[in-house]
Amino acid sequence: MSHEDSIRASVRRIAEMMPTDVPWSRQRFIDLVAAERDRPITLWPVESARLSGVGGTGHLCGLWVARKSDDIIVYGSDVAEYKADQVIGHEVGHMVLSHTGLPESGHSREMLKVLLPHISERTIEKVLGREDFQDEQEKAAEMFADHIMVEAMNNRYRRQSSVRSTFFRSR
Amino acid sequence: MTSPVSAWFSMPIIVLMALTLAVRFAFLNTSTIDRLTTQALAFGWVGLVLRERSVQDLIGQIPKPLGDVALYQQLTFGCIVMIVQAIYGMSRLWDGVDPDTVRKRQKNYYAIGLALSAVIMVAGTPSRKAGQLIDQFLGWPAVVLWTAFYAPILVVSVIVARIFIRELREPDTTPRERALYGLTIFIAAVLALDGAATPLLTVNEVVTGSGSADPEMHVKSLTFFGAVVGSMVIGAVPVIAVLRARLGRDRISKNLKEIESMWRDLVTEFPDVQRTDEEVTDGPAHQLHRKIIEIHDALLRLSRWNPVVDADRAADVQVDADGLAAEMASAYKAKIAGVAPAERYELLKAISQHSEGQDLTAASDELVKVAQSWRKFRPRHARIS
Repeated sequence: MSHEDSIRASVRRIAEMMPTDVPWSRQRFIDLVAAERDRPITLWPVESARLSGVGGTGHLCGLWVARKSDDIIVYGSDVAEYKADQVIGHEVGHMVLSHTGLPESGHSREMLKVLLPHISERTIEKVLGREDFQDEQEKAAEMFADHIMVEAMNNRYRRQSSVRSTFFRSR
Repeated sequence: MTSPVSAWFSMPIIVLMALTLAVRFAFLNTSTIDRLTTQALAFGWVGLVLRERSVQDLIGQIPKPLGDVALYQQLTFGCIVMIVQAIYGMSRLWDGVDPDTVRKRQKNYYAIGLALSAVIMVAGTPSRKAGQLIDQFLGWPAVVLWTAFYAPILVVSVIVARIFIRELREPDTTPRERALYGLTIFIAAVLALDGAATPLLTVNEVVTGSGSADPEMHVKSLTFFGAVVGSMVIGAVPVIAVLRARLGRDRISKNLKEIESMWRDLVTEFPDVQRTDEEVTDGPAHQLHRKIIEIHDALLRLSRWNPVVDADRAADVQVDADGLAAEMASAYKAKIAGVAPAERYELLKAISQHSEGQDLTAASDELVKVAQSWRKFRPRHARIS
């Protein structure tokens, strides 16, 4: 199975777990991923300007902070919902694809304290962000987000119905 | 039974239906439900053609038994039964039965349809031999024929009406969907009434010896014609959507074209927002999604050239597309003029303004408005990639 095929398979697996009789929702999606990983996930909205200050490039717009027993997804709350969902999807991509944190990623631990003052630095196991798509992990997480977003925002945004899909199709 | 509908009216419909079938076979015939829809329409098309007077005149010129017009007239009843069997398979899918199961069982449904068609042909033999229509000949063979013919119609009409009423009641049904479901329920209700009443009326006519109220079977012919035409309209809805998408006239394709120039201006300035691993080749929905995200990412970066000028300004005032594009153009001009990013900046409203549109088409609709305004405000000396 190629790299892309394995990403598509992960998207399919998550999408198939989503209930079909109700529209897609961000929180339901996160709850489902958390249940599948058997680890709670907390969404932590912050101002985009504060978030971008953490990264090395000034373009950081999302973070996955993995702790020993739970995960935190930090995202910009002052951007379009559509954009926020993509960022969250990207961080979930890192989780689902079992990516490892990069020590040279430039995420400042000091700045993390500012973003997440309530968590102890010692509990953090790894941090991955969404900043650019240069390395393989970032490309893969973004591809995951693209596929899950099209599934969610184009195919699953409304209740799924076999009658509807017989006559009205979005693609 | 010959169609009472004028050829001037029926022939264009037959041609249109043939075109619909051709498009369905070419582009819309991969899933189980699509194949069943196509099969149902194909049976309907054959039935319509066989009932045309000009076609029956042609058949009449062939030596018997192949040129037995009455045989073909009664074969059209079999076509209708097979339509009903195809729709029954579709109704199983609409009720949530696994497509693989339906695909396997459909052979049984068609076998039942063929068996009922055989009963119809056997029961119709005396009337054919007498050179009469079945309602002219009447008698118990007519009771058997109409019972075998209408029993599946009654059952499937009730099932279809139930499914579409359930769908109509869903709160997220759109006006377009309601119109289509309403038409389907109307056709199903008429056919269910017809299916329940005709065998009973035939029994009454036979028992009382009153003879048929419509020996030329004009009402039955018109009902068949109306049901097939209605079904064609319903079956053509996804065909129109497929053709629009193929011709780039659907909303996603149109929006993709509309935002293209704004996207190009932005990614020329911020090429790092593009996914460089591969070209997005998953179809227009994926391409549109990717362009929306790349525009959003570029707007986040461009925001650094949008200095805070009035910290007290009300942030929650909604700005129209012209206002959003003008703000973008101001930041864009600063960026291409080589101005250093601002120490204190605020997000461009094109990315931060509260948006109602959260699904793909709604989100892109909003960007389309901004892109249309962007053409007015876009700096003339914007770099060309």
